Amino acid sequence: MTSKDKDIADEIARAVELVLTERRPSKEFANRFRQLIRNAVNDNYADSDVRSLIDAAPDPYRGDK
Amino acid sequence: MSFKLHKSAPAYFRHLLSGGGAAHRFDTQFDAYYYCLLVGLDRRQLRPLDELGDEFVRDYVLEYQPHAATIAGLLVDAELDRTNTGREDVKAVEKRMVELLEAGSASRLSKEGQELLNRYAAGGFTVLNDLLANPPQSLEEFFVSYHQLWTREESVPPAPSPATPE
Amino acid sequence: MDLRILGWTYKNIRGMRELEVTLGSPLPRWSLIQMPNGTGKTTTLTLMRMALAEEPPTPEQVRSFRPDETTKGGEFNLRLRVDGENVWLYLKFDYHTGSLSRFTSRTAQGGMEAGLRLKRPLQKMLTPTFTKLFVFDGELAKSIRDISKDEAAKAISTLYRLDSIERLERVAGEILRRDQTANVSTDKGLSNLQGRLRNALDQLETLKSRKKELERQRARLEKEMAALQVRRDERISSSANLKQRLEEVNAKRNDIAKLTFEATEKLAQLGRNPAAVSARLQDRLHDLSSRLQKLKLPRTTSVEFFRELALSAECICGRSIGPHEKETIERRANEFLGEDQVGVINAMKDALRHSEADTSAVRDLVDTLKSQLRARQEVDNEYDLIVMERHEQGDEELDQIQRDLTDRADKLRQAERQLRVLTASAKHEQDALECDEDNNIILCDRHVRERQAALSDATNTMRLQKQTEYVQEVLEQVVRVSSDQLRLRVQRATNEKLKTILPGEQLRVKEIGNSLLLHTDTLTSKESVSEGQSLAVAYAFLASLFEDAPYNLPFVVDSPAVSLDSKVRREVAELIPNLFGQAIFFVISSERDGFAESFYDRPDAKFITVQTDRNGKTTAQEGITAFRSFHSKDDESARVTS
Repeated sequence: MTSKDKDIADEIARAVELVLTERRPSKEFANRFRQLIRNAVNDNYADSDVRSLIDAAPDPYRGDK
Repeated sequence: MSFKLHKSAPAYFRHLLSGGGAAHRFDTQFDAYYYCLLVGLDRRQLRPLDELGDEFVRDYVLEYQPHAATIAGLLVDAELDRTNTGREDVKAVEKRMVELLEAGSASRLSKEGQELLNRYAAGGFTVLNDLLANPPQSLEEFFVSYHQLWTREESVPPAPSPATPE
Repeated sequence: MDLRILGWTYKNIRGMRELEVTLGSPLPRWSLIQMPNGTGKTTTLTLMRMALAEEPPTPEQVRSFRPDETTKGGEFNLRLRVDGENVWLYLKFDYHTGSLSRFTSRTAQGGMEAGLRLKRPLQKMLTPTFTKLFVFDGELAKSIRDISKDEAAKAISTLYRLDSIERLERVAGEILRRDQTANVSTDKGLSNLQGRLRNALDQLETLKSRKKELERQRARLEKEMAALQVRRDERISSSANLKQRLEEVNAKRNDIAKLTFEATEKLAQLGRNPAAVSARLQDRLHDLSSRLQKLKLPRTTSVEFFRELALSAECICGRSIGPHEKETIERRANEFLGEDQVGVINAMKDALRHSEADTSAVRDLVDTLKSQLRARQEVDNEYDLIVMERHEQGDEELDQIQRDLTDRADKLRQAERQLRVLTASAKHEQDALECDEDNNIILCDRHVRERQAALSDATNTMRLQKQTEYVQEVLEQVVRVSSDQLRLRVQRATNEKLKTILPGEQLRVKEIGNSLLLHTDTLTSKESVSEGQSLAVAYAFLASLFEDAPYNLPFVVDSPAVSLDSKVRREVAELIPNLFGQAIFFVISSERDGFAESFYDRPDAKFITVQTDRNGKTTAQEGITAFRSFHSKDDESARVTS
């Protein structure tokens, strides 16, 4: 990764952390989310990654918020 | 092994099965199965698989276990007759027997044999349903009508086996 | 990703019949192309944008490139280098039909492919709007100043790959569409299903209670009937002679019941052996046994015997077993049974031999039962007779008891019938009794389970929906925050550059809002900012936008500095070298002062002069000398008026 790429990645990573801090989802969701963003920026993700992330999102019918 | 009754049999034998009103009843559903089976085997009557209900017992009930080999013998007899296996054809007879029987099984029967057994029992049920006027109300009445079927038939030679579709 | 322009060629494009412009090798960082107004600067830029992005031109636009009425077709070829690979883009115009055909030639593929065929990420990025961010016509300043927040956001999104995060939002939406199973997609729909499940459960409870109630009723009625029968007997016994007969009848009845029971038990026991049930069955068994005997079954030689024999060198007869014999033995061995199969048949033979039973015992028991049943019938008749006699004697109470008995018997039959409807489990019985989920426990239970499944399905779908929405919100938030951060970053970088370009003035970008909002101590609205200042801001912004993006794009502009005063021109010219990796400036002669001349000393600058001679032939000449000495009448008049 060039240093330009790294800077951008840092900016995006900062945005990710900001949003995660505000929303406080589960640890699993947060980890998957970070990984997915990293991969998406490199066009290197699969639909199943997105599905796994969705499954880790808070479940309103189980009382998660 | 998986024993299955004709779908309509439980309703027909209602009074003789647990929950019915009669004082003297069958010990288990297997009794109903057994009486139907003998008739079906004797008359070489098979019913198709889709007329069978769900499994009601896995293995031979204790009281009938000693007679498993005899019943297997009656199955072989019925099948050889039904499939018109030549009396002289050693290889064909041997082959059919091997298809129907299984060494390790408690019922002496293979999967195919068991399936046919169930179908014969269903066949016997349809005969009883036709010939006995009403669903049996008590065990004693049933036994009388049932055994009369056999004695009545004994004076008449058995009919040639009908060609039952597989 | 690196994109560079190597050169371009015109064929029958307006005033340029046949002209090739090559920037040279090594590729210069700065290319200054001097073209007088009206010779095709704007056309060139338009063609470059057209080649890079896939917007199809209108027939009018195509025909606008026509040199004259007779020329049938023209061509423009843009030569690029993308990440080290040479890629040539062709635009072929048919002036007659007003249509355009595109071709792409890549060194990697060899040959020409129809259409625009760049690497996917690059092709996706090069939308018509986006190409305007690095290939400008004369409206540079204006278009940058008027850049809307959305366009700036979009440019940032594309350049900094936020669009790939936006794509995830769409992917999530597709997954939801694909995976949702139920039709329910609202909370209201869900609560409807919950309501229906509750109803079904209530109904099941009701049916179960009714069953219990009916069973209690049945037990009570049976008890009452027994009591009534006792009372009836008492009433009958109140008549002396009838009493005697009654006692006899009852005693007989008990005996009959006892004998019947015993005989039935015995018969059930004996009947378990098929051979006992009928002589014919015994005959069949014997028949089979003798048949097996006659056929000498089972054949006692087993397949195992022959397989072992096949392994020996010599047969038991003494002859040797060669490969042919071995193969034949093994093949034919399969016609014999295995040892355990032989055992099974032997076991059967054994059983058949031992299947003896005394059918006469069964026959006797059946006869006993028959006579007991007859006797029972007679006893019942006798009883009825006694009751009738007593009735004829006239007994109010007895009559009442009779009526009560009849009544109870009816009620009992009713209760039993209702129980049957409630508990019928076999399908044909359910059909006969017209059972459904409202009156039959089995069907109601199934109905409950179906409702549970539907609710579960819908809940899963709702859950999936809510979860997907959450994910989309989070993604959208990340894009928004990143976009804001990056916009802020670009803004700061722009202002840093402005400090250098316009040090004296407090001209800074306040916000990249609906347009590039500027703010100074003295000026706050964009109307009062001069063109020159606007231009400076535009350059600073563009450079800041592109400098951190992971793409290296060329910067192509027409009249880059014409409205800047000399001093600013020089400043911009000083600044520009740091801003872009490759820049191509189309200039007119009046821009030479202050702008072009600051490039004369640079080793990585190239100068090309395009001119049309008296005969209408257009040529491109390389070199500083030609560049510096070029004059055109139009440019003179422009200088005078500026």
